[in-house]
Amino acid sequence: MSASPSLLRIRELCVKFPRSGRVLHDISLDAAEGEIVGLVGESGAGKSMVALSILGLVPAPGQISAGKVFLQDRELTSLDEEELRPLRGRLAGFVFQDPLTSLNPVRRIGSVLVESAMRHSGLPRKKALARAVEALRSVEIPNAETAVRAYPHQFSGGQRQRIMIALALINRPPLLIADEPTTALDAVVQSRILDLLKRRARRHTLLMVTHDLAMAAQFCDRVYVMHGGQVVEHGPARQLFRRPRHEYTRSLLEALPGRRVNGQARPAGRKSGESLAALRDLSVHYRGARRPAVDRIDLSIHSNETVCLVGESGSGKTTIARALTGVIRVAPGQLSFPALNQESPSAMVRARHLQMVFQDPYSSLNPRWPIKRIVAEPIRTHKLCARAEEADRVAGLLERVGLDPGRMDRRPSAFSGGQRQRIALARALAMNPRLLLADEALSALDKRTQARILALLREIREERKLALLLITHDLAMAAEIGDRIIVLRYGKIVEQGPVSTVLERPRHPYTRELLAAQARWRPGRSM
Amino acid sequence: MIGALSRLPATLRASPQLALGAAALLGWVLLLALSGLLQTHDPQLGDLSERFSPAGTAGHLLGTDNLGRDLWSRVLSGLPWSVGVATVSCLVALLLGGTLGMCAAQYQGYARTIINQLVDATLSFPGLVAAIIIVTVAGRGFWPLAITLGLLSWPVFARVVYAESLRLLAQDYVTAARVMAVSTPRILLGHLLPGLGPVLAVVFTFHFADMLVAESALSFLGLGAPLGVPTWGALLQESRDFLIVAPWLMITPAAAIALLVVSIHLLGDGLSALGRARR
Repeated sequence: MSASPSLLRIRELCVKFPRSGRVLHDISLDAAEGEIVGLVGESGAGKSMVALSILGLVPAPGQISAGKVFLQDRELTSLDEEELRPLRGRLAGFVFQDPLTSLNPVRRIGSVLVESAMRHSGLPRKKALARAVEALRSVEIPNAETAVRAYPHQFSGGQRQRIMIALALINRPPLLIADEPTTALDAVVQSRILDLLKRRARRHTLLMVTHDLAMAAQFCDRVYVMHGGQVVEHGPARQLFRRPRHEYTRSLLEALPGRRVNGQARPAGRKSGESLAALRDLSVHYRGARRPAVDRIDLSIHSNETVCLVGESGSGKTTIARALTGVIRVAPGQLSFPALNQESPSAMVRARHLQMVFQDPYSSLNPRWPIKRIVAEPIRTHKLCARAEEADRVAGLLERVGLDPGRMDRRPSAFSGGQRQRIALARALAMNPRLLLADEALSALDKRTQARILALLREIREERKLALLLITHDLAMAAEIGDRIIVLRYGKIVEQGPVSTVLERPRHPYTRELLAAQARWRPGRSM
Repeated sequence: MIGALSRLPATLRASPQLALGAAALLGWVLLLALSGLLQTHDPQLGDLSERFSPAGTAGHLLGTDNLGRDLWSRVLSGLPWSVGVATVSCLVALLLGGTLGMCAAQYQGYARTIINQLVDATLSFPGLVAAIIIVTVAGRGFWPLAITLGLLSWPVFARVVYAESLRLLAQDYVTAARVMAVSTPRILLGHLLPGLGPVLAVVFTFHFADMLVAESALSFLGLGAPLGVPTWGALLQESRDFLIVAPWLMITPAAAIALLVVSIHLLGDGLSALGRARR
């Protein structure tokens, strides 16, 4: 334990829900003054529930059934709602995951800050306003004096998260609780927010709830690993990362991209064959947009190779996917499929040549259809087999992606995000395409599920001699599975080449910035 | 379908509004089915010695009119006519508006512009004038009235279906189907139409209530039912001359309209609450 006195002490805390039973089992946790404590686990592990129960915010009908929470030596679980409410703002500040929904869109940010300062710190309006400006300045919002009069939509996602931090800290609480504060942000912004939190945390105790073990290992002083509502392991962050004792921690660590890169790199010098799809001078300009979404892109994907298209949101990655799949029309001559030997292949031919897996596993499957029908849709459309064999085909495909064919009568809602992505993959494979597009197909999943799906993709790639075009913002993943990498920015290709070259010797400053942003908080790999 | 039926008891328990609406509707359906049996007198045959009997008179539950005809029997015999006109006009509006709304969302471009112009033109055309013209040309009767009402009110469906279709067509599963080269009609019938179901059910119930009122209004103006058919609007019209001496002649059909409309609205509210809970 840390030498300085504990600011927060949780002792054998249990939280119970009437239907599902206990969701937290005997949680004990300490956080010293000025310390950064990480609470790590997959979604559903109970991390957020711990954070909420500290201030008695367990959502009804759940309740704290046993255990004690001490904050600055005050026992909190015995207090009722009336006694807790005035304490909340003063004792702890909260930062939530989604900066887009956690600020009220119709209120100026200043009024929210001022109200909080007046209510919890008892300041008069003038002093509260001064405090609000100071709080915004401390989170490095430019022009804080005018920013207080602005509305949330006038700020970017990263700035809104800074404002949330300012709001959490305005009453100078001893404890700051951040629940996945950077998950919704892209890599560069994420890195800046973490820097800021680290600077601010010196004067506060920070409880960081996250599913990102690599980030926690770098960012936190001590880490608690949670699994199934229990703390399975805790200790100093570096030590835990180097010598995990519990099996679950180890499996989490192994799922991190980059960790396995050396062991499983693809055999070098594989010859790539004919060109499956080629873009020549592709430009797409959406009506009403100021600049083209993609601007004179040249790109060719060959059989049996994996190409990673990397860039941040708005860089034109998805537009390229839409052009390739024919969802948007392109000018003649800009898109060709040399391997098909046809001037302009029909939609049916193109569909069998190239398929796609989408980002959002919740909207890419029709919620009204049983998955049997979902996977059979391409089979029926292209009359790939007789009706009588259809069920066997579907069962075979589901089995191939690691799902139980016995569940094929269920609807998508019965499956988790990772399982849905497997269903989408089975649907795409049903047509036996030669090129598979995956548009951020893994980014909605947690790290462990990501690793499993990635392994499955790799297997299927080898088995079917499939060419992959992976669209991603995650460089570590590109490093792991890709042969070639293409970096996009503002609709233009800024750099491309073999993965090892681009990641080890990036030439373009933007690639370097991307790499630095991702490496900043993620040790353990040499990029 | 069977799954939906087996969930019905739980669904009704979860939404008291829906349960109340469904119960009321069941009552109306029974009345409709048994309207011939429940009539105590011939609705067209009066006994002048009993004219203007107030409600509650022995033998005449709801009283009699100026010709001594039994009001309870007349209200009952008007029910199938009113409900029939509302149903047919709703179906016409649903078919026309739904198809055009789906097409506007799918094909965009010129199709959308033309359909939008049609919607605006229909909405800005005075319904009453149209009704007078059509009734003058086609004559009074069940079909002219039902189809007129449908042709005047389809924009409601077109607007709602258009908006919801835009949302559904932007879903990734529709894009996935396009990438798989599924034909447009199959996308519309397989993916879009089932998705529109819940919204259509809600709009249909509210529109049905509107059509009931519209039919009554046109009949009241003498543009609806042929002479002699005691629809509720026609009953209201007849009652106007005797408002002071026999107020029950007006209160009864008015209350019948209000009750039917309220029960259908309850059902619609319940359905839309159910839709929100599912989403």
